[in-house]
Amino acid sequence: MDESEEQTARPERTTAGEYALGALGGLLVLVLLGFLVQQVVTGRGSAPELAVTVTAVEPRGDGWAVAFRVENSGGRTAEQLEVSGSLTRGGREVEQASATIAYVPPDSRRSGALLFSEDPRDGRLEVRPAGYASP
Amino acid sequence: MTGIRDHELARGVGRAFGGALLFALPLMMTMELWRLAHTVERYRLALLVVTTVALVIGLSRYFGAGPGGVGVGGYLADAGVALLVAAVATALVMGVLGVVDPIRGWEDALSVTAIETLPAAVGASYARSQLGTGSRRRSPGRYGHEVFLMVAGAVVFAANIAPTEEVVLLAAKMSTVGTGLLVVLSLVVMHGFVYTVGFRGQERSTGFVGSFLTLTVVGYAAAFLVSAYVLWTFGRFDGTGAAVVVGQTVVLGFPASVGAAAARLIL
Repeated sequence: MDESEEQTARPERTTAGEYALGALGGLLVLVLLGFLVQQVVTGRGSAPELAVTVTAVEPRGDGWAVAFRVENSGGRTAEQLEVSGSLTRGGREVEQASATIAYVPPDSRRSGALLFSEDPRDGRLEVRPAGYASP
Repeated sequence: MTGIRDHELARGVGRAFGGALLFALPLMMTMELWRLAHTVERYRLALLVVTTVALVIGLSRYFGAGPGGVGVGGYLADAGVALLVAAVATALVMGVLGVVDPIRGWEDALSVTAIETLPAAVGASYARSQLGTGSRRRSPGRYGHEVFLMVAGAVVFAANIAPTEEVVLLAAKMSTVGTGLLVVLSLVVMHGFVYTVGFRGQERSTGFVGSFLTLTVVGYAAAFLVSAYVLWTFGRFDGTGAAVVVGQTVVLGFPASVGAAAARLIL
């Protein structure tokens, strides 16, 4: 067989370097499993908890862009998250804008922007998560 | 001597990296998977990681890899290297593609890595053991090894296709007759691949009935079970009726059986 031929032609002993890398790989698997077990224990079962913060308001093109960041501190992913913003002046709603974010995993942040034609700094601007789908 | 070996180790790691990309890139660039990484039940994901480790250890043990790799320590180290390279390759590629942020969003990244490790680690192990210039190649003569090989091939193909919505859609669209035909087609393709059409590594048939029953049918059964397992892991069976469950498994069983047959030729 060519197997024996190859075996004599090359070193057959596992090197120290290979053992070291292999051990690192084993450690990585343990970390991965530990992480997953920890997630089970700490209960990822809770619903998404979403918080939207406005990070910047700046003029863009003909209107204004309201940059926001949404953070999910709950235990489950929120999919097709809709973030809506409404601008009111003197108790009357002047303009509405919304954005859809594909998904926000637990303990993660996503960002986007709402576009307004009126100046959102003039009046009361409310930006909030409007709804999501559960996977 | 040490210098040569270290050089060989580096080359083996490089090969493993290439193999991981070869097997896992389709999955890394599948949108459904990025979401699944977070929504899949944690215990199922943990089970998938354990399965991956078992599979890679089995591959290293039966088919050898890299420089050396004899004895328990040898093949365990071998499997460890494959898993490490797979995880690093996943984190790197997904980081560069901007799907995850391995530093700020490490929890995010770990979930994605866990789910990607399966094809990446099998690819890394395969590349280290089989694609190198000086790789050992054992002729997998034993029946158990053959079946194990088919399982490994089926897992890689099934894992790459299972996360897509198309499997669910196809299963919902297909008629009962269509589903039956697909089973027959899978069996014919599997048998043809290994015994008839003359790929390199083609096997000699030990009589039609013998080889068909002992390897093709058994291989298909393995591919079917592997498909069901992967679909269950990804939550495709949750709240789904029995007919659709079988339909989905048959649909995924088709590529899985091709993978199983191909593994017998390649490895």
